[in-house]
Amino acid sequence: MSKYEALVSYLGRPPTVEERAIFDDQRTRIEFGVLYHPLWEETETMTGLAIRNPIDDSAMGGSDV
Amino acid sequence: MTIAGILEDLDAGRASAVGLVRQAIARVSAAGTASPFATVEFDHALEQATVVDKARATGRPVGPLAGVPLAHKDMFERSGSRIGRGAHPLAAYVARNTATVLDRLDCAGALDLGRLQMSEFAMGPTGSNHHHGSPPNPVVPGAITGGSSSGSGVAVGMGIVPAALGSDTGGSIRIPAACNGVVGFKPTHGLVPVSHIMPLSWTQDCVGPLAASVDCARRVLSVLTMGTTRGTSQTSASLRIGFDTSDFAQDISAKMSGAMVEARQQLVVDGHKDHDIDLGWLASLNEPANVIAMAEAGTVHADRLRHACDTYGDQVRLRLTQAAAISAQAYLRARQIRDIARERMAQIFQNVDVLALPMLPDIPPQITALDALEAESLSRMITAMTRFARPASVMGLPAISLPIVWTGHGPLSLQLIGAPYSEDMLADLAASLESAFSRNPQPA
Repeated sequence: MSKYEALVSYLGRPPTVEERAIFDDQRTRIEFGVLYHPLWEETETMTGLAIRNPIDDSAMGGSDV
Repeated sequence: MTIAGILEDLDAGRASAVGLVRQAIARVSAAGTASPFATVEFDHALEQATVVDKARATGRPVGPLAGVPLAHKDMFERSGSRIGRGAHPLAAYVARNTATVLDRLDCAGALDLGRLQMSEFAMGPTGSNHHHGSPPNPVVPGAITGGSSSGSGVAVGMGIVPAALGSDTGGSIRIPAACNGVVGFKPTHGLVPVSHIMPLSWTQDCVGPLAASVDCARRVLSVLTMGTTRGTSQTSASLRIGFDTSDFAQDISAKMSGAMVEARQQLVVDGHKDHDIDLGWLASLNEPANVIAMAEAGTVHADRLRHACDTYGDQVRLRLTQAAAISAQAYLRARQIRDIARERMAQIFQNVDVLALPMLPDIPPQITALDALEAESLSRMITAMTRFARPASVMGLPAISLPIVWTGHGPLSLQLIGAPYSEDMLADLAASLESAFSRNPQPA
């Protein structure tokens, strides 16, 4: 199911233009406001335990597979 | 109207509980469309009052709030009563259970006059309601009431009740308290039970009082916590008070800035030590707090939204649409950031006892000023209104908001934030400030 299809399912109907805009804006805000939050990045640097970006295989030590 | 004053009159026989309920009924009736009530339960309150009066007359022991009229946000269930949640009339229902906090207030002898208006599903800091409008602000003509516990702030501000329960997920007790010139007390997350109360975001939802004074607020909170917190004030010990030096708390009006200076000076005069602290990082908590709140609210509303999407007001529906964009990873990361923030704050509380922040950046805004804003500017204004409230919410910390300066255009409120379970210390400090600033009484 695509993210758009998930939104249609969530609302029970296709989104309005305004709802779609809010949805897209929120995805961007999460990217910068949460996933790469300064407190998280700082803690990751200190502990070395956190995975910076799960999509980046090199961060998990296995990009050559 | 204070709880202490009411109890004194009842004990001295100068008033009766039934008489107090009748006075409240008359005031609500006189208010007409300005009434903050969503549902009145006057017959129920009169029955409770009759029992209290009989107990007093026969010398039987009575509870600490015996005969005190209260009313509560329209999301606290009482078995057999209608609950509206500030939503479309189709979303109203008759409760089958009674909220634990109402049971505790009943046991203390408090009288329950009914349910008070609120923002739709407790979402919205301005107090405006798509379905039911909003009662007028009783202390600042033309200003917003604040939300989401809008009716609770108005009922106390009007003097109908000395205290009213509200809920606070991102400032919904403290913001309407500040807008209506009353005290708002958000306890530590988890201290007060939330059973049979409409949920919004279980990680941040708290129940607490909006009240006419610090003393009123702590008396009610003491009942809610079954005596875990003190119902009476003690002289505040010398405390270390932290003031933010970053841009976070500097971006406020000149009047609010002046009020903060006055508060700081007063605290030093009272024997406390002031400390400069850089709290700039608190600004970054807004987005994680919002992600947690919206992901959890989206889960709470998922079934209803799918089947009755268009019964939601525009503002609430659009906010809930955000939830669909929040992945499990983003939600969990926001929870991790919350944990990190709590650890960082615990370190700060090793060096200071209390943090002092503005509650709002300025006096409560006028409704017409908000109506004139474009969507983007309105969004910025709402973010500005909640930015000082959100840190305590997302970290689960206790916080009390109290008006300290009354300008000609509205009240300016200070917020005191403490470590978990420091309610008594916060209330003692707030009571001493309230007393010191009483030289600036509310204009008649």
